[in-house]
Amino acid sequence: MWSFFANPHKFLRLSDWLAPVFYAAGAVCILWGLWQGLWVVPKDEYQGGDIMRVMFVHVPAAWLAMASYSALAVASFVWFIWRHELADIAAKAIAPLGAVWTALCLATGSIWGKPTWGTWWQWDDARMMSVLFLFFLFLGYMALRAAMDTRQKAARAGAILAMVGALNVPLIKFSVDLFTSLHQDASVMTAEGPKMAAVYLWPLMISALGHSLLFGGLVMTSMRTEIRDRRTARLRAAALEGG
Amino acid sequence: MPEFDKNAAYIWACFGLGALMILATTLQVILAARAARKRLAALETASDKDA
Repeated sequence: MWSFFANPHKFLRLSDWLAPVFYAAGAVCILWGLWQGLWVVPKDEYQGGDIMRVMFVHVPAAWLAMASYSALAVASFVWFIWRHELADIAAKAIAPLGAVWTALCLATGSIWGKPTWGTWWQWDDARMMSVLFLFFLFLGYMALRAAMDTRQKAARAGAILAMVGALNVPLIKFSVDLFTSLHQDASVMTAEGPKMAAVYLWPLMISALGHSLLFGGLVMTSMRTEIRDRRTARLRAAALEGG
Repeated sequence: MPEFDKNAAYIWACFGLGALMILATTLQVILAARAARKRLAALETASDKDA
C-alpha cells in the first residue's frame, strides 16, 4: 500500500483532479459555515452573546492546528522508517500551512479572549502556551530544515523534531483538564459526546470540514510544487555535469 | 449586514483576519505552484532542444 502512495507520478496524476475538488468542496463548506455563523445561528447569552460566533473561525483553526501537526508527525515517521520521499515532501508541505492555521487559532483566540476574559493573553495559561509552543514547533521545523546543507539531513533532522514535538498535541488537548486555564473545557470532543446544541454543532462541523478540505488541497498543491522543484534541481544538476 | 451586540468589532476582526489569512495563503500556494510548473517546463524544453 505504501508503495502505491509513495509513487510521485501516481500522486501527480491523482492530485491533478483531487486538489481542485478539495478546493471547491472546501470553499463551499467554509462559505456555508460563514453564512451560518454570521447570519443564521442565534446568539448564545450563556457564551457571552454574539462573540461566540468567533467559534466558527477559531475552533476549526484550532482543530486543524493540532491535526496538521499530527499529520506532520505521521509523515515524518513514515519517512523515518520507510524512507519514502513523498512522505518527506508531504511533511515539508504541511509545516508552513500548519503554521498559518496555528497563527489563525492564536490570533482569533486572543481577540475572543479580550471581551470574554478581559485580557488578550495569559502567559501562565496551559492551553494558550501549549498552542504557542505548537506554533514555534512549526517555525522550528522549517528553520531546522532550511539550516541543513543536504536534503537528507534536512529530512532526518526535521523528522526527529516533528516526532518528538508530537508529544505537545495531547498536551494541548488535555491542558484544560490537567491545569487551571481561562479556556473553557472541551464541548465537542468529550467522552460523553458533544455538549453543544445541534444548531451550533452542525455549522461548526461543516466549517471544520471545509477548513480541512481546503488544507488538504493546499497540501497537495504544495507537494506538487516541491516535486517539480526537485525535478528542476535534478535537471539543472544534470545539465551542469553534462557540460 | 448582520447586526451584533457591543462586541461586533471583535467578531468582524476575527472573520476578516480568517478570510485574509486563508485567501493570502491560498494565493501564495497557487502562485508558487504556477512558478514551479513554468520553471520546470522551460528547463525541459531547453533539455529537449539540447538533445
